[in-house]
Amino acid sequence: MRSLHSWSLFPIILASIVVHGCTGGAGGDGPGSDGAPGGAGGNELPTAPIPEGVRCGERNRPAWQLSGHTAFEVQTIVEQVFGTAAASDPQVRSMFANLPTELRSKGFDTENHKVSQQFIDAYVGLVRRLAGLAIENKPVRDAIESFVGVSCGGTLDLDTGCGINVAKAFARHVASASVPDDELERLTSQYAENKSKYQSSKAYAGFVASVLLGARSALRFDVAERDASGVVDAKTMGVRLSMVLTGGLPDRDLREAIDDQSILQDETLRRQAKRLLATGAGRKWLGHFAQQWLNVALVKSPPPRTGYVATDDESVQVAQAAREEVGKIFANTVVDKRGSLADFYATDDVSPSHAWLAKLYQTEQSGDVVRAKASSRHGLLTRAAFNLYGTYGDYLPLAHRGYGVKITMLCGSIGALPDMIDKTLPESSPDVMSSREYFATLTERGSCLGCHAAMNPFGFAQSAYSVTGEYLTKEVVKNRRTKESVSVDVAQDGRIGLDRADVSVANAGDMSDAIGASEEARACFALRLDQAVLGGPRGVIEEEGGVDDFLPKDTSCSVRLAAHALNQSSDEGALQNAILAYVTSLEFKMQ
Amino acid sequence: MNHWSNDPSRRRILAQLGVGAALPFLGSLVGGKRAVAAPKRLTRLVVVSQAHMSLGYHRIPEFCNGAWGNADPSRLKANTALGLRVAAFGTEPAKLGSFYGQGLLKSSARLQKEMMVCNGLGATYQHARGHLSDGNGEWTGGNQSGKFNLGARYPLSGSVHEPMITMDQLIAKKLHMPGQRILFMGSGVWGDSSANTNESVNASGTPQTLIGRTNDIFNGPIFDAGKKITQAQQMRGMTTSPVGDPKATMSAEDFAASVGLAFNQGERQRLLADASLSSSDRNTLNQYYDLLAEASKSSVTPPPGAPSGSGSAASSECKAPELGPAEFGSYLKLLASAFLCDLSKVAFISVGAAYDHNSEWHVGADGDASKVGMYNVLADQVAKVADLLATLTDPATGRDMLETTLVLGITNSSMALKTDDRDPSHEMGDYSYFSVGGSAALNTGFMYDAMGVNGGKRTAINGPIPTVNQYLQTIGAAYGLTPAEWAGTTGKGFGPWLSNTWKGRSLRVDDMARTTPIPGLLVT
Repeated sequence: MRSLHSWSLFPIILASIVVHGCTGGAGGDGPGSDGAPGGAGGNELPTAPIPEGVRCGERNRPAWQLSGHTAFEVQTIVEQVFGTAAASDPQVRSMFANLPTELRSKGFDTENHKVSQQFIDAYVGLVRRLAGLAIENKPVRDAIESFVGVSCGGTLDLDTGCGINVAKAFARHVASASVPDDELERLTSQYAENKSKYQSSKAYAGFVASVLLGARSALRFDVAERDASGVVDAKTMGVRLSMVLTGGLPDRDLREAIDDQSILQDETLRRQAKRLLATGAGRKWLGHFAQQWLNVALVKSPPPRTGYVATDDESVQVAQAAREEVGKIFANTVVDKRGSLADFYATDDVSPSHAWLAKLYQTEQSGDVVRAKASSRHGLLTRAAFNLYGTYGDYLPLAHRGYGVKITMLCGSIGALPDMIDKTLPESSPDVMSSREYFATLTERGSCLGCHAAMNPFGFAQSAYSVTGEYLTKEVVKNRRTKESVSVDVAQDGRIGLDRADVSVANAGDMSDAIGASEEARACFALRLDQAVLGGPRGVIEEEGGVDDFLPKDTSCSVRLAAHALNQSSDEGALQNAILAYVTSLEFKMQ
Repeated sequence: MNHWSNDPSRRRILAQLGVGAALPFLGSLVGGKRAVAAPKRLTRLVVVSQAHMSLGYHRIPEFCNGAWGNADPSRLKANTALGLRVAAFGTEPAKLGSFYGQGLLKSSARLQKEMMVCNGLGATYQHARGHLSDGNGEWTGGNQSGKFNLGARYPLSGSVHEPMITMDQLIAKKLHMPGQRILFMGSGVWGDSSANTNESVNASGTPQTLIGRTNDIFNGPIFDAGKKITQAQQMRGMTTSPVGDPKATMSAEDFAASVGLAFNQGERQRLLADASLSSSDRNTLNQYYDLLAEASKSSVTPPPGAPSGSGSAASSECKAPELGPAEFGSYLKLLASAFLCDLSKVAFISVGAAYDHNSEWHVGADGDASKVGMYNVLADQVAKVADLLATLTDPATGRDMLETTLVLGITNSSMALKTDDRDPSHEMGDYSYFSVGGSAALNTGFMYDAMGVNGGKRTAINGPIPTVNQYLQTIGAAYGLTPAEWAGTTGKGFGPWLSNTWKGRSLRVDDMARTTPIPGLLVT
């Protein structure tokens, strides 16, 4: 049955959820048993009981809908379907760069899940080039055949027995929704006509372009068929899962689960999700998510200087390595360490792919995740990505660092900057001040106080890290009057506001531990996960109670389930379980 | 069956197929070899900036009326009897030759009557990290100081090379049909690949390479070794064989794009017929197909002032160039073929010749007439480009291509390059520029002067927009591109913002107020 796409049934379904409790896959690996709203194709939907205290709010977020692919998704799909030979082609890379992305401007790129002129221009250019590469380059055709799972030796003939299978499988598998048979026939007929009039190679290129420019390929075609309970069809479920957890199309394993409908079973869904996260594409997605969640796009290329990085290019490389490091540590924590959010924040891991980072962490240069040797590098907030924020005049940008922690890690709300800001220090200010003293003097007064009191302490705990990421025991500042350089002591300790309490922290590492163990951080993670999947505005947590209360009252079930999965902070696999809880929640399957 | 018969919608169909060649529907308007004199005379703007002009200070009015020399209009070399307004070389023009005294600018009455050349050499340039001003740093000099935008992605201040090419790309977006491409060529030594200038970027920031060898250009995507010229001739009815199916001569990539776009437009109604689509999904799908159609439609909205219907037809003069040995003339032949065969409307070229920057260029600028020869090379080549465009008839309008095509470029003359140890303070980004053509769009008579609100001379001082900006902004505004925006040192900066620039935006009211007349330029 092709169900109504409108939300006319939603109140009924929602009522069912509320009556039965919010059902989903949170908790352990095994399927749950009660509250199932119905089956799909004869498959029961095993569900887990809702954890104690979870309150499902009204649905308040964007629905699944037809949308444009993000730049990350397009790149992933190109590499997946056409192989590295195509993905590394200079013209293809140029087209990648043209794709719109929000990552550079601080947001989740899912916010840009829309069809825009920029997207179309870049995408059409990309398709054009890919079609050309497919006929020029046998490895590209081999990659296509590998992806579709039909081997014809890289044939350019798509109307032979084997070639027809390649053609139809290609058209079906690069689409994010089922392709009707009659459309497949039109595609293959067009190919045959072109082949008869022109060369096989041209006809092949035309076929590739016709498929890729189809709306089902160019867009996330999440327009699902649903069963009576509102659960989407197998193809939509599989594509949704794959796009969310890898940014790519279903691989062959997942396609089998789609074809035999087993993806509609919770156990298979969970197993596939777990498997996808562990693939190379899954790890890339985890890294991509972490970079957006933690806003490391804010990382600035530090100014080149002797003893650090000598050139502008190297400086850019340091910033890039620092960004990627965060993603690698996160993926490693989720997949390899099966860690919790607390484990991630309390990490001793680094990934010093640039020599400068290796120097900071006192390790060998390595693109892998290794353990930092420097004792000053315990905790996520001691990683370079959280220090390379540029400078604020002659001082470390401690208020900015604090703002970053409050907004990204705790989903806090800080008011907008007033129009008029008094940046004048009081006359009585000392001539020599540390960065911490400077910001305290400048901001903890008048109209500045309210906001800065909430964010400054998070930055002050990061006082021991320079704008180039070095660990400092002394900070060099300038005498305000004489302009002479003066060395002053660094103080990192303080009290931060966390879970509605003042928490003492000794340094940035200590603060990382405290944040990772907090309910606020867990609630925030769940909100950001939801935002990464569906886009929409950044939610902020509410400061009323436990992890469930920190979430806005109208938070959806899937988010609450993810937050609760994280709640057992010491649980093995808590982060992974949170993601699995989200993608096996009923809302994920229904919307 | 011949799909390409005299179907009235042929042009659109072809365009949807990505065909760069055009159609013979305007044959009656095609003139002879030389353009027919237009009933309405235009003064064409030719702008040439020379070394150091990229660094700011001069504005177009000063540039064009000779006021760069301490605002002394008497320094303007103008032949008002001929209607020619030419700014002379150097800060002491009396000691140097004038631009219009060179080459075709001297001998062509047509050019002398209709051309205005704005040319100048700033002696009061502002230092910004030496001569290098990449638009991303603070600078001081001449008792002045300023700060270029620190966050601009494509700052139009300072170095001109990248913004020029960016502007090429943006204008081409407005003018070009699918399949048409910017003719992108140049070398300090004509036809020799040893001196290619290759630090340019396109509108996406991707490095481009100016192709030096004429044969390489001819074999490249513009001409496809002459196949596209043949195709254009077939469509023009100039040749009879093979049968004029443009798909037969298309490159595989063009073919793929055209087939893919056409196929999916055919699928549109089938997909939208699904009654279960939500209104939101339906809107998204419609938007997708509309944009897909936009990507393949025959022409975009003509820029203000541009003749309607331009950019679509090959000329009866379309023919393959006879490329000679390495010499400037071969580039002109390529340029003529690309424009006449309707393969391109926008070109980028490097002109000039290499002289020692400090011992020749600076000395010449200070008034040593013995150094004038280096300017003559530049003047001669710019004049040849202008003369060429004046001889090419646009079949869509019957008027010369000074109106409907645009040639922008860098002047390679005597720039100091640290790569050859002549002057380490220079970069390729310091190249000066020139432009010829585009007069139909540019003949608004106004320059875009975002700093004009501050009034007076030296408005660039303490502001972000030196001369180059003003000129490129003027071009951009003329073609309906976004106005440059200035948002302070912490904002997004100014310049063509690539995420939405080529989509085109209307000038804001206050932007419109920031235009000032370009002296001497006729408004039609």
